[in-house]
Amino acid sequence: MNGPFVPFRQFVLKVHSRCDLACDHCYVYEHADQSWQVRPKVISDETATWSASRIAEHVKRHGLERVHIVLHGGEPLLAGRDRLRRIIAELRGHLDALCDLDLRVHTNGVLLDDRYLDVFAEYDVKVGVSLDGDRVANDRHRRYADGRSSYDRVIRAVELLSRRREVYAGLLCTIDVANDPLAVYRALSDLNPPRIDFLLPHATWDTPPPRPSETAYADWLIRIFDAWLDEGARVPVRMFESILRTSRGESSLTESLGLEPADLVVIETDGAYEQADSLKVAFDGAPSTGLNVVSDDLDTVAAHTGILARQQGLGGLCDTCRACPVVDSCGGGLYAHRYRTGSAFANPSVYSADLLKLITHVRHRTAMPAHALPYETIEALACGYGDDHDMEHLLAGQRTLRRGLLAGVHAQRSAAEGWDLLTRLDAEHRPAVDAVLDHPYVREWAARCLTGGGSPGYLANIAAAAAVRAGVDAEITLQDVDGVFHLPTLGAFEATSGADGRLLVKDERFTLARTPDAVWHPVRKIETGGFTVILEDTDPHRHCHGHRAAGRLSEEEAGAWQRMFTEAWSLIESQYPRYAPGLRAALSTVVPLAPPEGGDVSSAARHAFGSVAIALPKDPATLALLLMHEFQHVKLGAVLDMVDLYDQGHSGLYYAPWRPDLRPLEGLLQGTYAHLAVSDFWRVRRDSVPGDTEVQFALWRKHTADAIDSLNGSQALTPLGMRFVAGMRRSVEPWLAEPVADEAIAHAAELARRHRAASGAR
Amino acid sequence: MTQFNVASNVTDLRDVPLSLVPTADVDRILGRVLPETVAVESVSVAAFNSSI
Repeated sequence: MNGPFVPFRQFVLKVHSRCDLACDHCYVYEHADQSWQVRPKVISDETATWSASRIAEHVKRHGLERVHIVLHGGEPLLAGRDRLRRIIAELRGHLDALCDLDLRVHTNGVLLDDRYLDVFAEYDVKVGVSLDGDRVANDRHRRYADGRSSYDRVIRAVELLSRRREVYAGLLCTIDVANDPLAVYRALSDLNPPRIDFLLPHATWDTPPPRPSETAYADWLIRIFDAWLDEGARVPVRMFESILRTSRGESSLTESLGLEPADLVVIETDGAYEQADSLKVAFDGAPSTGLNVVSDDLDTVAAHTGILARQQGLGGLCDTCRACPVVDSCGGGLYAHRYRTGSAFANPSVYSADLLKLITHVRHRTAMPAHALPYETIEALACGYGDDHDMEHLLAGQRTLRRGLLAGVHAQRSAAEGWDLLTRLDAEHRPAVDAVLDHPYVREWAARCLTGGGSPGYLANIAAAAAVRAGVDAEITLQDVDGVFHLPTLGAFEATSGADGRLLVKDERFTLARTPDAVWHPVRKIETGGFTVILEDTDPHRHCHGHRAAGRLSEEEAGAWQRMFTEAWSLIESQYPRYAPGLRAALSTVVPLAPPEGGDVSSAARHAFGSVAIALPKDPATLALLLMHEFQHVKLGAVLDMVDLYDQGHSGLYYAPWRPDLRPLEGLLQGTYAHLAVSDFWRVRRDSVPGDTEVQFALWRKHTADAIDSLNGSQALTPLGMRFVAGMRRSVEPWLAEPVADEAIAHAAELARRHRAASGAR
Repeated sequence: MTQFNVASNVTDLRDVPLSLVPTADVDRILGRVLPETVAVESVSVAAFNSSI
């Protein structure tokens, strides 16, 4: 068997070989291998030390950054608290300085109490518990030797763990298709564990599982999967997650699925190294390696043919499996389940038909298409316009990006309280969640978090805003960002000293629990002709536009915005009708900027799709121009978020007629696209307001056309980018042919010459 | 009329529960909009079946 050396990263340390329950489906005692009868009941301190030092030796030798150790049995808690503490301390003492040690214990739960949990909390040991569902399901197998139920004691253990979630790993349920699948799922999910897994009962072709129908196990799991998916997959289920992950080409989360090489070894109570102990169901002695921690290092174990056989990926499977369409998810199933006397493990799993049906169902239900931009939309946008239908494609992409970035924040920067509430609302009140996530500055916040800044705790504010919108009662602590407790799309409380941000949402009303008189600033909206946008002066993440954002506007200032917006929008609709549908469909927010010293300032921010920032100009026409200009950036940014228009690795810098400095290619593309609208603005404007408008048109049409030539000359546009720039040229070319007074052309040429000379560009 | 599309490499996540957004899709999105944040891909573990 050839292949790269695979070091062990997972170690199952058997600390006790007996159990206080007598479950009739247990693979340790009730199947072919009976080696437990000759093992010491409990691991000795000496064997534990040898185990820890062998693992440490292996970690050092192979430079492993992270390893996983599971304390297992039998029932590991039978080893007793003091012994477990010594074992855990030994493992941490040997390994904490060398690598990241993920330490777990898996128990039947009946002995678990707070004193055990104190030990586990002290040493950061996560606890998993076996529970087969509701009382009926659990007691079908999980009983004491005298027939008593274990259910109440296990539930008590789970309740203890629920109060100490820092050490709670999850619940493990062995399937019995005689149980009602939804009753089992609800019983487990209602306990709100961090994770659930469902295990197929260990079986082989020699000893097949009870099977009332050909695919009874698939049918049982599919009923749970459908309910789980419909409810938003609120509690992670390892088996389903693994099928989804492997279907996308990612790694499995369980050895029972996927094609990853096995990197697991078991150390028994006598120090014997064994292969995966599920092999006990195959034949007596199946997991044995004949090696021991005292005499053999782990590299020797890794060279064992039984270990190597489980590292061959696709090549280690039988012909039937290799030809199967779901082999990348199934991976042939758990190795032990393939066994048949005569052909050994060169068979499909005894659950092969179930796995095929289940995986096919999961893939069918979760097939995820990619976003796409119709060529017609690309063409419309390239020409500088785009209507509501075109905006739908950009809005769809942005919603995806925000959801992805939010998940990224959760993955990298834990914000558990907000995430728990938000995922619950996402499952049950999606429109309310979407309404909040569509707020432009949610992405800006996420981007800050993902680049090392930002406040991950603001996820609670996002969740709280969604709860308010959904009319769901909730209580959650808001994050203070720049002196306010902001609720996106709703407004902000002033964060006075002593306010802790605990928000109560009840009966569709919300208040800060301990400061009910906190000053609340609701978001304002400006509206005209059925077109409404948020006048955003409460969101602390709006300070991303390169210009100082205005503070909270007075009522008078807000009124001035409303009046000027009404006139500007009327101008756009009447004079620039090709820009109006896109703006109406996708401009959601205007951020007032602080008045500048002179001239006008405006900005769009790449992460704030749907928003533009503008200092209130002197007249409505200028506001119309600034809205059109900045919205071009918004549209093009959204296109670039979805598709590639240029080579990202291109490092050339270019003269841009609207900037004093040379610009990278994306900057030139953005500026050119914005000035397409600027040229168009002055082209139309000169008809109603003669004078300098003629010069402005002459100047900007020339600048825009020249910049398009620079883009074409860059040799760095993708084929789609060339098509996009060709669309821009199609718009500007007829404008170049429009008659303009010679005097205006000369003046524009002089202005252009001066700008170029001042920039230093040749 | 046949509608031709330009495909993006961004998976449509609008109907995917937040709790199920795939890591690979998050990485792809980060690669598009925050390329400086994309870290070295971590290797997940196909964990021991009999514990969680």
